[in-house]
Amino acid sequence: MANENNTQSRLRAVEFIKALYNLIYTARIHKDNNRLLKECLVRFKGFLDDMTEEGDLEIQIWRERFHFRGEKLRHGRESHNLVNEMIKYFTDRSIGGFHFLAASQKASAKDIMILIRILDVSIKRKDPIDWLSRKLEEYALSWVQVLKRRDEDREASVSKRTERAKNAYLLALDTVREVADKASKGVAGVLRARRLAQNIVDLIHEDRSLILGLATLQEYDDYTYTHSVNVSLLATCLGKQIGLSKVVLEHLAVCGLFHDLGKVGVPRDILLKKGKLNDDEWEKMQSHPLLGVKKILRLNADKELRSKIILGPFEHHLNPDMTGYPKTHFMKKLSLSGRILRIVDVYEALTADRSYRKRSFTPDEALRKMWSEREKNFDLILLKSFIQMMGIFPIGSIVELNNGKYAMIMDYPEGSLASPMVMLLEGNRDEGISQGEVFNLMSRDQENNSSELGIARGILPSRIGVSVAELLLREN
Amino acid sequence: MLADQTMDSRNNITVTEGGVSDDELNQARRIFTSLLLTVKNLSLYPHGHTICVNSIKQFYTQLTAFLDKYNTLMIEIEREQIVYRGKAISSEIPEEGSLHYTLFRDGIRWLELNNGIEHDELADILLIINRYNKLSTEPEGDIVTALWETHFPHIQYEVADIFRGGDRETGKFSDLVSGKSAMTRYAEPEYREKEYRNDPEIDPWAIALSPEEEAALKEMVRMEEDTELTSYLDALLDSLLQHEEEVNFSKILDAISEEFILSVSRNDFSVTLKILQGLQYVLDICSEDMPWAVKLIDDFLIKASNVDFLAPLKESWGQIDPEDTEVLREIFMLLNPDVIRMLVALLSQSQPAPLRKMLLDLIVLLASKDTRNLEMALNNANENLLERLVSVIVRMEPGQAMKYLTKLSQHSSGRIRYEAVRGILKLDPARIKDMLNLIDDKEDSLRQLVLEQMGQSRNEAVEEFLLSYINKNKTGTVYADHIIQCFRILGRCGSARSVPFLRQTLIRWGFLSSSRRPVLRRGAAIALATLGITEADKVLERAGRSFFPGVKNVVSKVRQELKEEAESRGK
Repeated sequence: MANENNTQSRLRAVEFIKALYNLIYTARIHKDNNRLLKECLVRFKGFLDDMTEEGDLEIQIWRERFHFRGEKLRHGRESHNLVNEMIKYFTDRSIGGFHFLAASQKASAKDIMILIRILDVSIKRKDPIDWLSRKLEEYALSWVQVLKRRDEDREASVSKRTERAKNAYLLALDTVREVADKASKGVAGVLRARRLAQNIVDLIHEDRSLILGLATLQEYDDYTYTHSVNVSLLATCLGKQIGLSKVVLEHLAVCGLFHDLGKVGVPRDILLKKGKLNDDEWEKMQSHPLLGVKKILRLNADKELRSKIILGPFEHHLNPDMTGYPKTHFMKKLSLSGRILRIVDVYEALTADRSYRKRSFTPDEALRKMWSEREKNFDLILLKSFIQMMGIFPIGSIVELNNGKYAMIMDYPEGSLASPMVMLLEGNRDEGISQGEVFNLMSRDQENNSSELGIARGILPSRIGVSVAELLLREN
Repeated sequence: MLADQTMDSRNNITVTEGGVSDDELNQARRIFTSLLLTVKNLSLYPHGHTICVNSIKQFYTQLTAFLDKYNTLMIEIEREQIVYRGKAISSEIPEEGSLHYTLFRDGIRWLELNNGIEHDELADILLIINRYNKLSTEPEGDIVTALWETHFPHIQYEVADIFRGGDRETGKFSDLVSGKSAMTRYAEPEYREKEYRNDPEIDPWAIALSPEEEAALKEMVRMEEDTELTSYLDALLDSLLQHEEEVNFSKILDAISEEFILSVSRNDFSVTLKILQGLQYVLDICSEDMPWAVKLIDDFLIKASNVDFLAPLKESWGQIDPEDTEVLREIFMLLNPDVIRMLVALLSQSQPAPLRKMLLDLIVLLASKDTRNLEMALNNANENLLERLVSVIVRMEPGQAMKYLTKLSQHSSGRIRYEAVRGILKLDPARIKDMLNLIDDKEDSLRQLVLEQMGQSRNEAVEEFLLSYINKNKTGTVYADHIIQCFRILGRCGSARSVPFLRQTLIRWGFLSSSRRPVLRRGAAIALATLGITEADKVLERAGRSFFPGVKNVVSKVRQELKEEAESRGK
């Protein structure tokens, strides 16, 4: 009997989180008088009343899990993404939990909507908790208290996730290198790559910004390996952005890791050659997607997986109109994975240092260049989705603000391209750059009542002598 | 995500470790034993077998009773033991193929089943465990991938870091971000002041998706989720077209070959045809410059035409949709003539008329290119099949057809001999002169066939043969009906030359034995009446007036019978 009650409470708690999630995200789209929003509100109020019937309800986030009345919330894998989204939602606002008093039962629909709306906009405040507390007082919402997230807990959980992500990155490099080595000698297995891909997919579901940050890493031992890992991360992020299932994302991640496997068969002096390639060299370079197919066929993978991971690598230098290379006779249109890889491969290549050009493109330059060539070279819908995901100044971009200061784009917390989180970079190249304040670019104007603070332009990290990845991951 | 679960679950364990009661431990032990037994049963009996179904049901009952009481069952998998809440519940060194071995091999550190698990969910989990318990290693996949891809709501697990422990040292992350100091690299003066590239700004409104684009994106995602094999094949065929080294070409052809087998086993004939048409194209392109490629593709086509290679088709032939007939025809046409043996095998099955016709047409066509396979099939075919093959042979080039049919006309089976002779006579009725002695064949239908053919026209040789045959058998044991039939045919193929013999048989009786006399008289009367010539009619007239009632009556009876026959034919 006691266990039945436990199960019931757990289910109600999961439903409560779901109802809150729906209410928050519906409120973003609709006004208060919208029918759908009203339904969400009634549903949430129902769960709130139910759960506060037996007294105060304290919900806390601890170690990246919700705890209802001190008990860890167990939820099935089907709720995993939703729960994670909510944890991230509160974490972004430094919220460590809520205390709904029994008096919540008397809270009106209007009061609850106020709570939801101020919760949502609190992200733009410098100190969301302090601002929220003041607002709750101002609106006389005495039935609820917002708990501050303990910094050490936040740091611990973020640090743990960052460590996992870093670890995954290293392992990805190692895996690509190992597979490339083995594939050139004989048969290589794909078990590690698959497990790694699963890990990447899980990490992206937990914290996509972190993965996008990781994808700014460049040149370690051999550019091909970092490029492959970055392409894998970016492709999987884009796949998630457009709504691919986890299984398809897994295949896409493996595609990314192996998309340049054929380069193992291209002489190194051609790969690293400074300056233009002659016709013969260019021909050899163009053979790498075909060589890649051969290498993937040699992988010790089951037929189904092989059929899923061959197309992307084969097609990643083909344009939607089937120009590019390799030449095709049978293939009439590109697969989705091929079109995704095409976009992220070009982006990654443009933003990386290459021996054949003097400097790389900054992330925003790369996006603008790609956008200017959108008609011929890319799938327009996917390119739009990619830019939406990356932001016009992608995470890790070093920018010059219109007040002359430098900053680095850290995140787009709510997916809004207009309000990135930035980190000020203080000092100069000669004396050294230090990390400055992190704030939401849009909120800064509102709080200071100052004229609009914005991004003037992107700049190369070399200009001020910083390593983006180091800054980004240290901050994380 | 999984690491988080590990931490939390492990924390729980630590807190309660000392508190596990003997009763709880024993129950956990029993559940694990029951799990082993269930997995064992699943491995021994086919899916859906009563023992498997009951075993899962029983395990589910035990498990849910446990979960109702303790909420969670979490086992930790260590190299030499299985642990429940800090205590070993199984401590044997796992043997290859055991559940313990598989879980450890695939890196599952702990596995947790939670309250609320449903019967079907548990059954699916057990089936996955069983499947990967049987499989040794990649490429068949592993248990972790299967669990990850399936999303079971009431099962949690953590996977050990399988990337560790190899002989390769993974680098340090700090090397990545600062080892090759980005600052020094970028600080080269020549890179510092390069121009800022001036592509136009991106208008944030321009990157918003229109409703049409949203819909198109959804469709793209939907299509990606649905497996589509043909694009993958296109990539393989395009690769084949451009690989100029034999070893690479061969490797890709191997993959195509696997897809060919798969497509056949799935009855996915559009894919099968696509492969063959693609290879035909490659063959055409390569024929001049890459003779080795021609040989490789030819070898593949020979292999693909083999009965063993196409075996799945044989099994599913009964379910083939007649609408696939044309695609199948194209497929078989593109294969090597060796496929004739497969076609012959398929012909032996019952099937809709369009499919049967397609098979017959193809066998004729392919046999005309290469007869060896047909000969082999003829040597090995059973009676039913041979019977059907005769209709194929008849449609071949007459010289070849006659060769096979003549051989088959000696077959031990009466049915086959009949079909073969029928085929021969259809091709060349004049060949009857070589088959006259078949009127003595054991097979009734064959005798009838030969006699009928003998009676088709006046023929001196046949007449001679029949006169001799009847004369020889007038006192023998040949059945009366057969003798009568011989007389009747003699009437059709004979001439005035037979009249003396018939007159003698009808009117004179000295040499006739008493028991055969009525039969021979009747036969002679029929022959004379059928001859329809003056000489014969005169003999009949005379016999009709005979003093001997036996002669007179037989003539009258035969005339009446023939009249009735003629009338019924006239109707």
